[in-house]
Amino acid sequence: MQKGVKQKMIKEKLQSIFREIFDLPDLIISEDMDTNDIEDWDSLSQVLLVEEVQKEFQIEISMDDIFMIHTIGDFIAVIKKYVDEEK
Amino acid sequence: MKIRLAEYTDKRDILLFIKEYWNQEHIFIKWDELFDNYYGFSENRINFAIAQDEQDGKIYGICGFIYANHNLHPDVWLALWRVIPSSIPGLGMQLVNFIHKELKCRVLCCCGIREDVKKLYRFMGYTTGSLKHFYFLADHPTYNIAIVNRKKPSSIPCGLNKWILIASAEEFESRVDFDDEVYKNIKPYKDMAYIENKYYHNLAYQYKVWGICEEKSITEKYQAIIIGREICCNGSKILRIVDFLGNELLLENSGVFADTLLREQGYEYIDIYEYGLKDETLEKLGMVLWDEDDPNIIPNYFEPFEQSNVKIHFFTSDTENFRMFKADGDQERPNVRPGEEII
Repeated sequence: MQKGVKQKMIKEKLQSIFREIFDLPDLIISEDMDTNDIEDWDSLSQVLLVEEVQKEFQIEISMDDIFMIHTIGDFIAVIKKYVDEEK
Repeated sequence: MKIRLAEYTDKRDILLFIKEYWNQEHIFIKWDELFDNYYGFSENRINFAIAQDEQDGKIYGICGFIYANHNLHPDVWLALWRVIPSSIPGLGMQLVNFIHKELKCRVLCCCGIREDVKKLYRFMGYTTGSLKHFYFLADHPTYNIAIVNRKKPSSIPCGLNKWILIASAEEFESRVDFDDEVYKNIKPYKDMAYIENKYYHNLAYQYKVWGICEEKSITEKYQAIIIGREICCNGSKILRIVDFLGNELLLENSGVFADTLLREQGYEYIDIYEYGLKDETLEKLGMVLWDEDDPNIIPNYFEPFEQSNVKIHFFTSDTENFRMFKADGDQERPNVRPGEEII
């Protein structure tokens, strides 16, 4: 899969997860979005997000990597890293 | 954002954080010495981890902790955890993780977590659960604290072991004879400094510390300790067992004493919140387990008084030889100063 296509696919799936977890059906995510843009994005919702991401992408993200996720862009980068490792 | 252990000079900022983001009337705001009693460690340290913005110094999260002992790998309870929105979505988890690693805990646990946060702890690899609530109801014509809809037959109290009051920390130290190798294996292991501070020098409550000995014991050394607090409320009183240390077998054989205490002192009930003891031990003491099918109300909160059943949830990093009781961590923290009116 081409790099750009994969990035787009990850972003779309992540957007759908964010919409479901935060009950924001019209949410459009962008890579620079962070907790200032999604106010309920706290530790507990981070757990729910990561659980859904792990299920969706069939990956297991380490605690250290979870702690590095501060923005949507970070989330995409971490998912990509694990998806690439799975290959 | 920097996460670090707090220094004593951070105390003012921590209290301001509690006041602003938790409760303006929090007992620690009104009672400085109580805060030191719970979290003071030495002249320069205070038992908190804080998350602080490195640029402007603003605090975004605090997590208090209490040592059960000061071993190289100590047993630690978390107590008082609060995070406000920041640029880091997992900041609350990072604080817990920091404490676990920084203190090199043998066991890290917390008594009294919210049910909806259990998922977070499980995600972090901890085990979560709920304390069991056992009670020994007296046969009174009316009750002012409990609401008794069904006089459930108590188990038959068994065993003639005696409870002897241990009046001082000095007496405790000289008369308690735990098998250290066994006792230290129980998690958390509570050392003398913890016991002295918690039960003999408590600023808010008077505790009754009993040594349990066999009926015909002549050694006068105790291998089991039971700790309780008498609670007076609504013109009546109860005895709450808040802690137990040592050999469980000695406890299960002291049912007759518990029964006599219940009747002679006029308690409505004796209760205990616990995890890790065998159900059989408490049943032999005369207690029954409160469960969802039990129509009786055995209150937990007294400051202010709430006539409702309450579940207490916990997490722990290690379940092997693990025990937890109501007094662990900050579950016994008062909400008012002695003599102050309860609103």
